[in-house]
Amino acid sequence: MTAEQLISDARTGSAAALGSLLELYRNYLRLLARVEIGRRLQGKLDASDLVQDTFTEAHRNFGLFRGNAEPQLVSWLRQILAAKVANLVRHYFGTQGRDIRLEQDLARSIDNSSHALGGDLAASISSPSQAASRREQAVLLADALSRLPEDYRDVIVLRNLEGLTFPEIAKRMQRSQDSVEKLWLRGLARLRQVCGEAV
Amino acid sequence: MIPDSHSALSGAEIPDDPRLMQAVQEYLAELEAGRRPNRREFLKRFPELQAPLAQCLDGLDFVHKAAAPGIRPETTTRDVVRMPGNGAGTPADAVPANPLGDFQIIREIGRGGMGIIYEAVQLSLGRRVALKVLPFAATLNPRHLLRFKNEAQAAAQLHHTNIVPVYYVGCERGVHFYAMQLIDG
Repeated sequence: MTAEQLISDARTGSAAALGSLLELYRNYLRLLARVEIGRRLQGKLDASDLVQDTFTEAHRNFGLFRGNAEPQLVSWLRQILAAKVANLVRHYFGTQGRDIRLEQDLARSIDNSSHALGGDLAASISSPSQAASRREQAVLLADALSRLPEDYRDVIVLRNLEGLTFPEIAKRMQRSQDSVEKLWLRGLARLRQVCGEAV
Repeated sequence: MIPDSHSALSGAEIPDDPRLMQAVQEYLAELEAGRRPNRREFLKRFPELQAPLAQCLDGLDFVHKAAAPGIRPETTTRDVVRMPGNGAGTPADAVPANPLGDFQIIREIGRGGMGIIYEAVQLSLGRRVALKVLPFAATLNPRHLLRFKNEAQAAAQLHHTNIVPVYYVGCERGVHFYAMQLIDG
């Protein structure tokens, strides 16, 4: 079943179709949540909880969604997720006292991760016919990353999606720079294989 | 979720050769600079490393295809904000990329102190909105940007019959904007 078929079935009221539909984007949203939470709030917000909240709201408000293809759905889910992150951040900073710099940094990082993981999106929306025939690259990437061993995935996310340098990653993962570089190479080499399984 | 089958995949042999890391980093630098390196020519330069290098480049190409050019935070908004505010060659009222994220711009409906207001359609919800866009050139000044964000946040927190609600605050390709309820007339 393609995303487009699931969208149309979900619209006729099939809860099963909506469930399967949202499930297609779990890995993508978790990855986006993870990047959005960023290094500052790690340990304070949980990416899986955020995704669950996003799904709950998507279930409740699916009637408001007007699109019929994957790019529009991904965009809609991203907005719900971004609003959840923003609320949680406001809540968190609200209890800690205001820190404008942190909030600004966070706003910037949300912008950037949306760029990084949604760059494909704007292009697809501008040509709906094309968009319908292929999956969102960012969704496929998130699925492939979810199939990698955790330490491989971490290095690729930190280096290529969060833009950290290898010395920064080494410090963060409490490993030597040499070892995180090796993990990165192995992860990259394996990424195509696990993507092959996905298609 | 499909469990990762470590054993079935451990065939990927990555030699312990510093040249491999150098080569992959060089290729990544090309991608991050927004260029499209010629893969075949690139591989030819490293005959002994071809197989593992090709695998690594496959992975990199995949990540970059999904993640668009502005992938490193340092190369996107921050650099734009840091640039000196000469604005030369950037018309302040250039029409932003369309669609702007989830918003398809239809027409300009007005200009305010801080930006241009467009009528737009929010594609995912199929509703018409008023989109206030901070012109790209103006984002060169961090103080303007802050004022714009404060204005949007302040508006978003207000619920009053005479104040239009803010739906969405966002940034696409360096263009900052927010969406409000569209009031006809």
